Amino acid sequence: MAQARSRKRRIGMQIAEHATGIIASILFLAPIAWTVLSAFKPAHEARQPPLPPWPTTGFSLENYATLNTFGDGLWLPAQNSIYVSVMTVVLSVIVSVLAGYGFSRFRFPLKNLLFVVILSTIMIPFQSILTPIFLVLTKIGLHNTLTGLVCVYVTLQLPFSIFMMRNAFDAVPREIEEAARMDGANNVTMLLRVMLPLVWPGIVTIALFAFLGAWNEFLAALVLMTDQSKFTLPIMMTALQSGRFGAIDWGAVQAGVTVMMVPCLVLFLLLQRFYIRGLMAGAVK
Amino acid sequence: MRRTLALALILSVAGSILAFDQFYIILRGGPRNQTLTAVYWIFNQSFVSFKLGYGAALSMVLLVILVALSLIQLRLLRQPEGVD
Repeated sequence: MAQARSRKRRIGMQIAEHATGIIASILFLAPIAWTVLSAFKPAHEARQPPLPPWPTTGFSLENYATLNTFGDGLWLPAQNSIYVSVMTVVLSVIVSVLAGYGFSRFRFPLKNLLFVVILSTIMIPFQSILTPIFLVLTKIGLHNTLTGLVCVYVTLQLPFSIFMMRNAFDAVPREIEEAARMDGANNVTMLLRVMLPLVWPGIVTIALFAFLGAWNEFLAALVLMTDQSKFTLPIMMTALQSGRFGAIDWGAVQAGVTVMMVPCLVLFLLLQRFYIRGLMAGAVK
Repeated sequence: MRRTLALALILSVAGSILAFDQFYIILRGGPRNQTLTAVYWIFNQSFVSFKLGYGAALSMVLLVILVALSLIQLRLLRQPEGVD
């Protein structure tokens, strides 16, 4: 009797858990599904009120075509976005792997103080130092260049990445290092051939964060880029929105957002396994 | 749970104070500046009116406010003595 009741309660709990999960995932998926579906509306329908979100008069790729006729086409801002994101990933991975290795395995004066200073810069939000950053970049002639944008993004990513990489290196057992040392590995071989394969999940995690951050970043790109040939995709989307006699072409905007979403989704799904392992390695420190 | 709560709270409070993208894209601060956020105000002063010095000063004020808010939250959610 008591057993049957407790089993019934367990099943009830399971149903409640699943229901919560399903409702939460619908809440998160709905806007994405809405955007993707309405991107396929023909142009005349995209101007109508947005309900229902799916196209009622047949699928069309008209919005994607409009997207490509705006300004210099879609490929140029896409190239800019790819360049900025890839450079951000490469630079922040190189710097934070070296810094993380140093902070984890070497002893040097003021090490702990330096680490705390780097960590405390996480507290300073980028938006609140926007104007000073703009002034500095103008002074050294890097405003309105993609290099300047990459510098800003790398600076923003570094505190978090260095923190993650130090935790990843800390998690590698010292015995492995000692064994490699016995086999005659110097510091560089040690890092490249012994440590790197072991901290791989951490590297994937910070690379993914850097990529998503640089790909989606809006405010810095809006402020620093004034030349239309240097716009990244998010800026291009707002230019598209306010261009054309002030009338908003919602269809094209939806199509653009859908295109922008694809690389993020692909990368995230591909790297999900590493990503979760990398975060867990850093979480319990 | 206190630590997790403190982290989540500080992140989301700071994130909402620093909101800009949505306001810029959807409303442009309108109608009649009713949807200006702090960051949007700084943006307008610095890059629309081009009062860069004033904008930089506003940025610093915002930074001080945010650090103060985060410290207050940390204080309120501090781990009680003797509990790990």
